[in-house]
Amino acid sequence: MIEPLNCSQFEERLSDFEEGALAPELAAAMRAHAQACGACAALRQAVRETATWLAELPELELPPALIPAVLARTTGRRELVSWRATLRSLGGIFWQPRVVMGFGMAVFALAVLLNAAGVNLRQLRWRDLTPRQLALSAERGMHRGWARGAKYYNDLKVVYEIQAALQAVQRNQPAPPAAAPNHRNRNQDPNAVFGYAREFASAAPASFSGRAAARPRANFAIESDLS
Amino acid sequence: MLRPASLDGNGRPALADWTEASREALKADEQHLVDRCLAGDAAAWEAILHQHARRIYNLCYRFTGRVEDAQDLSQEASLRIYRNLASFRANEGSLGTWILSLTRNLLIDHYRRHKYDRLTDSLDSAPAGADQSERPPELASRETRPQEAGLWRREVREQLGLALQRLSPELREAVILRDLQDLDYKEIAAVLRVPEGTVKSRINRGRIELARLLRPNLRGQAAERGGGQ
Ligand SMILES: [Zn+2]
Repeated sequence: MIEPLNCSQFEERLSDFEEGALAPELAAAMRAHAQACGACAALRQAVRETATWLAELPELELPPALIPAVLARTTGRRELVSWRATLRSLGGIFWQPRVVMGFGMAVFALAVLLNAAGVNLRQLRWRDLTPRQLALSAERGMHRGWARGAKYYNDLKVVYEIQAALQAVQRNQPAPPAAAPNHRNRNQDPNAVFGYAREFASAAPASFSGRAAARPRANFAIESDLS
Repeated sequence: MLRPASLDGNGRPALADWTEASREALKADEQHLVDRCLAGDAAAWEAILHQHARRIYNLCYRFTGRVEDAQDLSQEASLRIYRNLASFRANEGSLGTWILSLTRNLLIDHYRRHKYDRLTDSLDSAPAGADQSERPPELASRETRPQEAGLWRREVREQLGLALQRLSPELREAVILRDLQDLDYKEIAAVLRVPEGTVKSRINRGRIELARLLRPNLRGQAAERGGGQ
């Protein structure tokens, strides 16, 4: 037989006691204390009830918007679907030469920006666009970034021209949904980048090169950047 | 034919092997799923979300007691999980434990950030709610008439949710993980990164504290027993 328990010793072991995890002698001492001490007996009863109530607390259903919201901010998957659908629904407008030209320039600008971030488009593989690889290349890019700053100042001029071209188009046409998926999503989801380029490449090249040649200033800027 | 005795005799070692094998298989599956995410497989990430988001959300809800906070925090937790997938190691614990651990760290960060807000909030509302003493007496004596049972149950849930918020975060998270999310002590120890003994004692203290919050008359521990009921 072990020594009688006091109230705080009883409390300390209450959960173990209720879960049957105590050695027989200790459990007997707990029972003895509960019989002798009204306060501890009442506490034991209340803790039992609380445990029952806790077990009965309902689990909440997940709000339906939560997973799509997370996906949109991670893989960008859901947004990609709607982005393509919107493109398709724009139909005729999209394939007008001026719009195509604007998008072509945007693709080029994206390539410039990716290049600046340390992503090499020619050797781009699926793995390069995972969160880990992007984080790594962003880190590597940080070191090179400053040294390259001056060179890419010139690229900014190209981007500015692209913006100006797009704005000119937007003045006459309903806005293309270029702003829908944000830049970060597109970087993280390989489909977003490839899909974009694919849709463009499948129908655009002829009119794009024709139009680009018709704009010597822009053409010159592009060549100087590639050299 | 198949008698229980013979099944036990032959079956047990085989069963042990089987559970061990399935545990290993599960580990490999989870690591594979995470690796696919890291390789850019959006479907793999979506599968992880579908499997764990509800638990993340419920942990956030029970910890904060507010739906809006739970929505924001579970979204934030999911982003944190996505960004940290590369640090998951299947042989250091299950994906579920790892996910809950990240979520819990976020909740604690959030708690610390907003500690001051809550302090001033409760000071502001102090005159209106001397709520410790105003706790409804219905809880202490269960209403047994059937037509009022539903109402009583709802009241209990509401009070219990509020009482959870009054526990210290250490006790709160331990009770939620054990009594609401049904994790065992070992899993909780892994989530909270504290020894199992600490987990047990926090759960015990948490339950007792909750019981006292729900039944204020228990507080004065004197032998004022009998009477009621
Ligand atoms: Zn006692």
